[in-house]
Amino acid sequence: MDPNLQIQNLSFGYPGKKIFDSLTFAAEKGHSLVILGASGSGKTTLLKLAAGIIFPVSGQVLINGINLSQAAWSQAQTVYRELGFLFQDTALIANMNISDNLALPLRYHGRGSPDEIALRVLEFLRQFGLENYAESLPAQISVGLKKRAALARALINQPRLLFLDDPLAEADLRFQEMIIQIARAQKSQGTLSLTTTSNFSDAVRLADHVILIQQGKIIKTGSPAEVETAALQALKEGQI
Amino acid sequence: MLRQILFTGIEALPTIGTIALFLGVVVIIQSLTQLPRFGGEEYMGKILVLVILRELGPLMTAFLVIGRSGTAISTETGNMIVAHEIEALKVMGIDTRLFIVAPRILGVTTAVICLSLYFDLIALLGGFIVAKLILITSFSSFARILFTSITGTDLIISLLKALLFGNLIALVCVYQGFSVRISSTEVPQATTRAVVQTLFLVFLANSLLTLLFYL
Repeated sequence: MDPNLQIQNLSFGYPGKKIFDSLTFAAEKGHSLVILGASGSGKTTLLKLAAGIIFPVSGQVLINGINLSQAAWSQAQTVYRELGFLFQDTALIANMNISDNLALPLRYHGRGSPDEIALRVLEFLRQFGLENYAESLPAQISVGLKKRAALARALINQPRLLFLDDPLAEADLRFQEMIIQIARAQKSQGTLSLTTTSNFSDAVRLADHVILIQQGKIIKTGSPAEVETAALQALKEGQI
Repeated sequence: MLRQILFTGIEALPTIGTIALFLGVVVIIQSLTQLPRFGGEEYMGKILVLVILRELGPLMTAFLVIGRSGTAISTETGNMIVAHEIEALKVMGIDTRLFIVAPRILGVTTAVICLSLYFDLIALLGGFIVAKLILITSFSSFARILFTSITGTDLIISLLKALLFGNLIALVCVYQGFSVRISSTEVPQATTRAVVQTLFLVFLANSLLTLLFYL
């Protein structure tokens, strides 16, 4: 089944604080969407809502046609297995070394024999320049290396839907280039990707479609060129 | 689960052993010196079984595991929430009940049962060896008194208590760890709640089991 994401009339907030009000958008196979907004505008929250990590107060999120907030765990699990998620603060498992972090989703879901998993992990460690840190715990390596490891973990399961939370923030030039290359490769393979950023130039590099959010609402959607004027206006107003 | 057994069980052996030895010495010396004064020598074995096997073994083991492993479990789980590790597990399709909760319950329960038996053994035998340095009592007469006093029910109740305490410790501490929402300042608060609630529940369960089987 081709990857598919539908956000319908999504509202979210906490008691006394509304964060999103009636957001609607959709994406499908091969789409690269970027959520562009100011720091604190709720981009990460929206990304987590879209990936089914947290659930909306009202409205619905359908991933491959399934509403995860109402699905049984076994059904939800089949959807989660199709996802890759890069957390802004990496969220690597602290008491596992980098190699085990990468192997975790493969081992848990039985995707290959132990030897096949070890080979795949080694391939990813090499691809991301982490082969010398395979036995290191996340706390023992730099933030940049942790980000690479987290991206490798997000991709090792060959996801059909990829969620990247501000991937270019604090990334060195080499890693930025790696992310751009990966984003393009994923797009050519038909992966649906949803990325957050507060930087318009990053949005241009990563997206074929931009969703500009401001004060909990979508104020403009379209190609980077179509959104540019609205983004510049928001920039002037200090909103991004 | 093996990591949990290693941390909760194997690594706790020296601490549990030392405390069991000290308590065993105190109880055995008090029994051997005080009971004959009142003509109660025939109750010596019963009192040792009552105090060490039925009560102190499971209870002291539970206290030490709460302080050592219960706090570690709630702190680790709370920190995993703050660092978004639990969210990462969820989005990888990993069931946290199987990955986080079940290994801790099985590991802690197994460790508490084994440690409780270890406590009893060290407290009774080790305590006797130390007491032997002070008192003139042969091992054979001490062992005879002890083994004629232990019943199958005593052993079963002791193990049942350890089983229940192990489950309570793991469940309450994991639950409190999962009660953390966003901030690292919530972690020590959750850990304190875990310790207080587990202590209360262990005391309550111990009293109820004693009432149920020995009244």
